[in-house]
Amino acid sequence: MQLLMQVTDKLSRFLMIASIILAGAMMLHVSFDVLLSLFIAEPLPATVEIVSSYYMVALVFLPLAFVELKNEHIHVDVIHSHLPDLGKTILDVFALTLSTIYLGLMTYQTWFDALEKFEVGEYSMGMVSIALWPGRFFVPIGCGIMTAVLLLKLIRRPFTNADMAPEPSDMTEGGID
Amino acid sequence: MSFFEIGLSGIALVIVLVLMRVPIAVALGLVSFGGFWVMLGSAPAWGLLTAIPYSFSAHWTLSSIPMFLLMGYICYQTELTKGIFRAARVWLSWMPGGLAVASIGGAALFSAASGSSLATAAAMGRIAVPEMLQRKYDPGLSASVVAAAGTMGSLIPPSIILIIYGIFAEVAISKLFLAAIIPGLLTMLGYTLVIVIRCTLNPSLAPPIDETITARERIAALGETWPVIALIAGVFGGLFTGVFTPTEAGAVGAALSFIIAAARKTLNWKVTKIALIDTAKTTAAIFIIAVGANLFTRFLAISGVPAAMSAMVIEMGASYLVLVIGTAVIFLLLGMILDPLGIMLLTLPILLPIFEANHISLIWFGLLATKLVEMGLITPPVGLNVFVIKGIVGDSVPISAIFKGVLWFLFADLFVLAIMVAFPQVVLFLPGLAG
Repeated sequence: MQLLMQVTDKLSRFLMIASIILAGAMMLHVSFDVLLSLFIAEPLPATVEIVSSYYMVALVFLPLAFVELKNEHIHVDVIHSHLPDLGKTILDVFALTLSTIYLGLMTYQTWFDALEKFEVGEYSMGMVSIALWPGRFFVPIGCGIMTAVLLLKLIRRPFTNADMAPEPSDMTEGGID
Repeated sequence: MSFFEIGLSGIALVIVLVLMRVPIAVALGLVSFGGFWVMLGSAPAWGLLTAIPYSFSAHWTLSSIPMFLLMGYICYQTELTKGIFRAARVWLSWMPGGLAVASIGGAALFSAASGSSLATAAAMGRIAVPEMLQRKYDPGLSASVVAAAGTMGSLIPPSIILIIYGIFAEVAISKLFLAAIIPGLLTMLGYTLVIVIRCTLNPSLAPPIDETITARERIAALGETWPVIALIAGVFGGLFTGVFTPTEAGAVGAALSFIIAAARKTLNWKVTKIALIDTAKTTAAIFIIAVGANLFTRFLAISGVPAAMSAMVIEMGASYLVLVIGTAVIFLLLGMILDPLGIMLLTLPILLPIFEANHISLIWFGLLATKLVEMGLITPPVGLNVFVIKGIVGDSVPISAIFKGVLWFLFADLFVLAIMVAFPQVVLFLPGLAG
């Protein structure tokens, strides 16, 4: 159990690092594209395709497991926070079960979809054709590790609430508005 | 059960699940998946779950969201905004409640570099609240002014909320940004009036600052604002002259904020990492809900609930005003338990068809909805901006005092709303000019 938790923890962090590198790369890529089209009227090839099918998919799905690890997926606390410990445990088990099912289903489906796109060698139809299928795998990878994080939390939840506390964080961290 | 009944049960189920602390993304997605299964069978349900997560996120226009987030986080982490408050302070401190007015002015300027209300409240709160408390300003006033001023972050462009609204409503984001300018300025004016009136009636709220500021100091203070002015000029200049699109503006703005921070020598690896991590975390948390909301929109559309509701509204002959007040009540109720994004994404699938069927401008509705969800950020019990400020002030100001102080600013918000409803031109004038 301990080992499994360490492995998912490492994997979540690894995916997080990958996504922050891609976030930086996306900024540079788009900025260069703007500069080039401004000064030499010749933008980089396939920027739109690369941004949408690689950077964006990665940025949406790869950090999911890490966000779950930090308990920063958005939920509503109004009732939960007023319940006794037993009630909290029951609600948490319920929510974790549903989350595991949803993310599990999504992982399963998108994995086969990615394999299918890999087999047909999905590519873009624009001026320059680039392979699009690799980006498809970001979805099941991100959702899959998040499912693993959820499952481990679910198994431990009846015995401890150690996994449920949000970390004390910087004020803007995880802020959605 | 008829499709219509399934649709209604779906809405009820989502609300129950969300109240049971199921993550909003999961509640929306799972209910939609189940709903599709019940209505159309297993194949369409699986098909939807396969296609939507990827196709919704692999989206060029939406790439501006992580980039605008990054721009705001970099500004915040590298203290690009420190000079703003100082400048606003030397220029505005002669007014009654001068420091509070300066916080409003500073926040309005910061809002033009940030797409997020929480980041704006946090950035201003960190600088302005300690200074006001030190000058013996009323603690409730000091904390609440920044909590309220923060809500301009999502109103004054760029705005994450407006980009997401634009995607769901299929409205041009540049038009939404233009439409937001006047309501944003009106909000700033309203908040300023609240402070001036309150502090004139009760000078003990804000003891006047006894200091003479020379013209030279005023000019010098303006010099400190160059990082933000340069950033805003770069982003909006390029945006409205068409050098780059609203989508590209995010990336250019983020890159500019890095360059400016580097020039000011406040950029280092640590703050870069924090800003990038915040960007990635927030992006994933926003989009996984948006994927669920997209599934939910499709589920509701098949069930026919939005169509039936808009037919009902038209049949009732509900006037413009009734519709607006109804929406406001729903938003303010939801605002008690949900954050702005959650409210938007839960209600748009139902409300957009209704407003569209009644021939109400979706640009105008976008601004109305944004203003309403932002008011939810400062109303109890879940007033995220208030919590952000509470995190900054710690034990020195009780949370009840902040909520009480915020009430005054909510009056100003109601006034701005009334103007937007009575004179839709204040919203639609600027986007109209752009054709």
